[in-house]
Amino acid sequence: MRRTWMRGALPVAGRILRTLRGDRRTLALVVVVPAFVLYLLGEVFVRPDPVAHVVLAVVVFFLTYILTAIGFLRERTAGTLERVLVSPISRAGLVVGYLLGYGVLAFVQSVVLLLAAVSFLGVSFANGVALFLFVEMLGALTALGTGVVLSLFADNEFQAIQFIPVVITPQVLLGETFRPVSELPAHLEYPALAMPVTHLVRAMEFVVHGGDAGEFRLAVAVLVGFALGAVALASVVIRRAS
Amino acid sequence: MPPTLRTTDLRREFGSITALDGVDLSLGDGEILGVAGPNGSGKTTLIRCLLGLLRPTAGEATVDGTPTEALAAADRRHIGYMPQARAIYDDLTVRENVAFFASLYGVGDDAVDRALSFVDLADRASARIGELSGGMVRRTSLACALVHDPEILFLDEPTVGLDPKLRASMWDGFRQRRNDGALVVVSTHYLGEVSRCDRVLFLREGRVLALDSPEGFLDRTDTRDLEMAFLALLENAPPARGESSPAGGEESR
Repeated sequence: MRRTWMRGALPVAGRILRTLRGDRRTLALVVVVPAFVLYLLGEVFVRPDPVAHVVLAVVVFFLTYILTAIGFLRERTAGTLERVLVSPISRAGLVVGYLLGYGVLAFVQSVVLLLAAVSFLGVSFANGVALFLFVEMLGALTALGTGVVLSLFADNEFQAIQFIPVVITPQVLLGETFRPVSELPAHLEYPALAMPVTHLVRAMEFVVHGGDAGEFRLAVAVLVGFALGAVALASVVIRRAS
Repeated sequence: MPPTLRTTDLRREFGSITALDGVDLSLGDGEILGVAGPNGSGKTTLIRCLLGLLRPTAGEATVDGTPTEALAAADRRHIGYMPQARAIYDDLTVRENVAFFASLYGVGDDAVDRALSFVDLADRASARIGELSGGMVRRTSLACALVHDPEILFLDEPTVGLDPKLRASMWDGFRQRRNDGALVVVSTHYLGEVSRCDRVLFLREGRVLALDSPEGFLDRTDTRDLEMAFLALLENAPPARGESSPAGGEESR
């Protein structure tokens, strides 16, 4: 059958975007919050440029995780997920639909971050704006898959939020934000390398400040692996029958 | 060929709780099967097993001969489902909700228009769900379930919380689907409603208490309505799990 594996992806993506049209708070989370965070950062730091790449990496991962985890959880608790799974949609199609729908949002968010970074932080992007958008989208895809998978282990929105200190905070602390991973104690170095935010920060550092292109390519390859792995895992763990 | 539904010695457990226990059922041709029983009797579990959302612990449920947990996309195109929960998107309009499910089943705007007319919501198509009354929300949910003109329609407590006039109107709709050849499975705990079905499956604690036509129930229990018939069946039935018979209680004293 034609396009069997992603059957239903486009309707799901369209539904997500149409739903957001009536959800002003989420739209504000996508458009206003990133700009506001970068504005505050610009006001607090005399020289925000050295930390800009960290903030740009973490904000997109954090906000995309929240959007996807809560969005997918709502779908489950409202009963619409079950109803969708009764239809002829494929499980991969459902996940790809989520990727496309929230991917559009992540792109809008990336553009907002780009404009805010230039306006409030004076960031100049040593390796160009196109590469910035590419890395932001990769980070968003990883967060998307993570959000879908983790939301399956939460029974309500509060539980999805409880994953933040468990899943997001360690990544922000260890992910080359405050100290290079190579300077961490050995028992933290390897966990840090297994976290997507570490590689997202490294890739973003190259985009904003320049540096070793080989390390950038490695970080991108690892991020692509994380994104594909998270999406594949999400497709597997969403089950039609329990 | 008319659709068929079958369960053979269907059993479903949730941990130590047995929600369905040895249910045998065979449905074919266009008919309305009412699934009735008190809360917790297994009505929703039966429907979820028939939809392939729950795997049986033992036994089998099939749609047109295919085990329900293995239904292919082509099989699913013929099935419609209205869950007990509202299960529609509050931030979309009535029409957008119905159109979304239409697109999942690959049917177009004409089908959406027909479904909206069927549930009498064509004039509220552009209203957001949050602006609607409970009855209109249920009707939107029904439109989402039948927009693709399914041959088999599962409705889990579709009329709960609705006023009598609206309930009557929805039942007219179900009968219309049945007359068009569909197989309709409706769960309800309003015993007065099941008189509108062709056959009624009474469940108690996951077991089939009786399966018959409404007239058949009245004849064999010599009662005037199905509520009284259900009570009479309960009195004559063997004791449920964990329940000692009154006679046994006397003997133990």
